Amino acid sequence: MAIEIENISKTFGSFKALNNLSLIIPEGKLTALLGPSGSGKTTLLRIIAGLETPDNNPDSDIRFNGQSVAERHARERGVGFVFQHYALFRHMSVFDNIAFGLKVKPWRSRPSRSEIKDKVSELLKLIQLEGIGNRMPSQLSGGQRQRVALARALAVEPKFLLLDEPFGALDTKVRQDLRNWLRKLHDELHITSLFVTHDQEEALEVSDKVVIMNKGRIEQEGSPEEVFHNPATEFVMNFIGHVNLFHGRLEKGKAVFGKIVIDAADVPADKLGKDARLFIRPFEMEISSLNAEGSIKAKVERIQAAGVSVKVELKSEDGKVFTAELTHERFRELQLVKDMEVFVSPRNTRIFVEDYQV
Amino acid sequence: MSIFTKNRTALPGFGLSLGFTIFYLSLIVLIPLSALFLKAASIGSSEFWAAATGDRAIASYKLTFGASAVAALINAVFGLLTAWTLTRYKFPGRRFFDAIVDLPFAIPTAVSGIALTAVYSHNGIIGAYLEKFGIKAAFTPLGVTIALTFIGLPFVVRTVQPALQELDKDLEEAAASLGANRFQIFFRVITLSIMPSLLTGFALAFARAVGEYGSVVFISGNMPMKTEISSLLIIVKLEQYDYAGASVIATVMLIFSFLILLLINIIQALTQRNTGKG
Amino acid sequence: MQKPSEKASTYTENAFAAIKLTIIVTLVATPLNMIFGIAAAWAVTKFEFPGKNLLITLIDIPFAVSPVISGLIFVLVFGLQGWFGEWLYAHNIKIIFTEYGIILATIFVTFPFIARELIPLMQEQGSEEEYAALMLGANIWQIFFKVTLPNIKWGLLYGLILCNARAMGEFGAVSVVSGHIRGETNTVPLHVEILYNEYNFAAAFAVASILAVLGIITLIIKNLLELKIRKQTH
Repeated sequence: MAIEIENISKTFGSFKALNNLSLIIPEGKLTALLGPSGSGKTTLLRIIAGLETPDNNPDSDIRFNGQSVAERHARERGVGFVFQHYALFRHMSVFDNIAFGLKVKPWRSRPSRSEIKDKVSELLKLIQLEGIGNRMPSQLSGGQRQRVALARALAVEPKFLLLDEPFGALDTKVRQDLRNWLRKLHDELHITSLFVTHDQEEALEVSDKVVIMNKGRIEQEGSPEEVFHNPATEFVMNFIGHVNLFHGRLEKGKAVFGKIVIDAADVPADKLGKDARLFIRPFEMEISSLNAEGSIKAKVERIQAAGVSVKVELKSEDGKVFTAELTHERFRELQLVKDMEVFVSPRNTRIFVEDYQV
Repeated sequence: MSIFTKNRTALPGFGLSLGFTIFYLSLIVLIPLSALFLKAASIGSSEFWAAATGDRAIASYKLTFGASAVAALINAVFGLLTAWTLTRYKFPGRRFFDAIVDLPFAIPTAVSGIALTAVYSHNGIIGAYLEKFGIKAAFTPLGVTIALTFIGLPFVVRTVQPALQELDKDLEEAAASLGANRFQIFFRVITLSIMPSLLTGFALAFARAVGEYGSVVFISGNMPMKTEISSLLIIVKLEQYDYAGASVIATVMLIFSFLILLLINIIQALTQRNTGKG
Repeated sequence: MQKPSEKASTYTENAFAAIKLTIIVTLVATPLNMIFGIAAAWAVTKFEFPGKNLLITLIDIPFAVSPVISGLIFVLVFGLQGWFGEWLYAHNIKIIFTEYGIILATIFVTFPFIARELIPLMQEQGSEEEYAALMLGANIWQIFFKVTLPNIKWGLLYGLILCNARAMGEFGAVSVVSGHIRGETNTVPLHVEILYNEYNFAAAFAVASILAVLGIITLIIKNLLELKIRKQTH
C-alpha cells in the first residue's frame, strides 16, 4: 500500500505552498515529513488526506497502491488522520470517540454493538489505556488524548495513517515517551504511516524514511542515516544537526576559506572565483595541542561540559567563531581551559557552491 | 501553519448552506427592504424632499431624535454607573440585579408601554408625585424620553460591562498608588479606557430609541406636531394610504440608523487598532 | 346591546384567539430562523468565500431596522398598492392584514437572533472535530448531528429563547401588517393595545401580565443558560 504523489502544486493567493512535488511513501514504513514551518509539509499531508485540493494540473495525480484517488472525496479515501490538537469529540466519552468511525458506517457494513465493543476494548488495550473508556477527553492528559486520537483513527482500519505534528502540543518528556511508543506500535501494526514534524531529532529517531521539505519542494529523501551523514543540499546540512559555516571561494585546485584550505582538484574552469560555503559538523572538528598540516590556530572562548559531550566554542585567528564537540575523555586528555591556544582540523567537510558540489 | 489551513473545502454542505442562506436572506430581508428604497426613489427628488421635510415630519424628527439623544445620554451616565457597580462590587443580590438589567429586553414593548403609562400618568405612583411639582410626564415629550430611557439602559450596561471586566486592575492600582483619589481614578483612568465601548453603547441605545415604537405610543399621547414620533407618523401615513410618504420618512430614519451603525463600526475598528486586538 | 356574560365570553374568545395566533406565529418563525441560523453559521464558519464579511453584515440588518419599518416593507411588497398587490388580488391571495403578514414581519424582526449567537460560537470552536469526523467516514448529517450540534446546543438554545421571546412580544412590526382584526389577526401584544385603547384597563393589564411573566421566565432561562455556557467554555 504505497502512496504515490506526482507533480502536485498548491498555491494560496500568490504564495506557492507546494511546487510541483513528486514523492513515494513506501509501503509498511513509517515516513517523516520534516521541514520548517511554511515548508508545505502540512499542506502536502492534507492534500494526501483529501482535506485540501491541489492546484489544477493535468499531470498531477495521487495514487494509493496504483489507484488514482485525486477525484475521491476525503471521507472515501480510507485514510486515518491524527490531528495536532487531537480533535477529540469533546462531548463524547473515550469509548464513543473510538467507536465513532464504526458507528457512522452505512448500516449494511456497520458492525454490531458487541463487535464495536470488542473492537474498542482491543484498541484501548493497544494504546495501554484499558479501563478509561468512560472518561471524557477533558479528564485526560495530553499524551493520553493523543493516544485516544490514534486509536480512533485506527478503529476503522485505514489503509494509511497520516499524523499532523502528532507530538507538537506535548511536553518534552511526554513527547519522547510517546514517540518511542509510536515506533513500537508501528513495528506491531506495519501500517503505512506518514507523519509531519518540524523536530529533526524526532524525525531521525522514529522514522524509517525522512523526507526533508523546504519552500514547497523536497530537498532530500532517504533513511535517517543517509540524510544525516550525506546531506544532499546546503539546506539539509543546515537543518539537520548543528553545523559550522565558513565562507570562501573556489580557486584553481582548491577551495579557500580563510586559513582553511581544502583540496579540490577537479574544479571546472567556469566555477573558478565563485563564492563557496564550507560546512563542518562540530563533532567532526578535531582539536589538538600540536600544529599539524592543514590545521588552523584558534583560541578557546567558552567550554560547556554539562552533557553527553563537551561543546567548545572557539575563535580562529581571523576572528571566526565556531564550535567543536568532543568526548569527555578527549577533553580531559587535552586539558582544555579558557583562552588556551589550540589547533583545529576538520575530519570531514562539505563544500557547497551555487549549482555545484565539490 | 494556521494561516494556510483556512482555505479548506473538504467539509460537505457548502453549496447547500450558502445557497439556503442567500435565498432566505433575499426573501426575508433584501427584497422587502429594496421595495422600500425603490418606493421612496420612485416619487422624484422634489416630492421626496417635500415629504421628508414637511412640518409634521420635522416636528416628529425633532421629538424622536431629541428625546432619543437625551435618553441615550442619561443611559450613558447611569448605565456606566450600573455596570461599574455590577462588575466591581460584590454585594448580596448582585446576580439578581445583573439579570434585572435585561428586563427592558425581555418584556414586550407594548407591555412596557402600558406599564410606564400607568406609572407616570397623573394618577400613577410616580406621575401623581410629579404632579405635585407641576411636572407632567405622560403624554408629553418628557414621557417619551422616560420610555426611551427605559428601553435603552441594557444596551449601555451590556456593552460597557465586558470592557470594565477586562480593564486592567493594575491600571487602577497604579493610579491609586500615584496618589490619585477615588474620584480621579474613576474619571481619568476608567472613563478614558472604556470610552470606546461607552460610545458604542450610547450609539446602540440611541439607534434603538430612534426606531422604538411599542413602549412609546402609549405614553406619548400621539398629538401631531407635539408628541408624535416618526415611527407613528409612518403608521399614520399608511392609514391614509400614503405609501410614498410613509416610505420617505422610513428611508430618512433608515439612513440615519445605518449611519449610526457605520459610526459604531468605525469606533470599533479604531479601538481594535489602538489596542492591537483583532 | 350584548348581555354582560356574552360580552365577557367574547373577550375571552378574543384573548384565546390572540394567544393561539401568537403561538402559531412563534412556532413558524422560530424554527425557520433556526434553520437559517444554522445554515448561515455553517457556511460562514466552515468555509472561506468572497463576500463573507458582507454576508455577516447583511444578516444583522433587521436589528438596525425599526419595528414599524419592518412592517412597512412587507406592506410595500404584498399590500394592495405593493409590488405584488395586483397579482395577489387577482388570484385572491391575501397576505397583508392576515396571519401570513404577521408571520413574515415576525420572521424579519427575529431574523438575526440565532445566526448571531451561533456564528461567534462556531468560529471559536473551530472545525477540527468536524474534520476528524469527516476523516472517519461521517456524512454531512452525521457530522452535524453527532459532532457539531452537541457542541453548540446551549448556544443554540440561547438563541432560540431570545428569538422566541421577541417573536411572542413583537408589537410595532406586527401592528403595521395586522389590520387589527379582532379574533383573526390579533396577537397578544396587539390585543393588549386594543383593550387599552378601549379603556378596558383591567383586561389590558391582565393580558399584559401574561406577557410580562413570559418575559421574566425568558430572563430566568437566559441567565441559567449563560451560567451553563460560561461553565462549558471555562
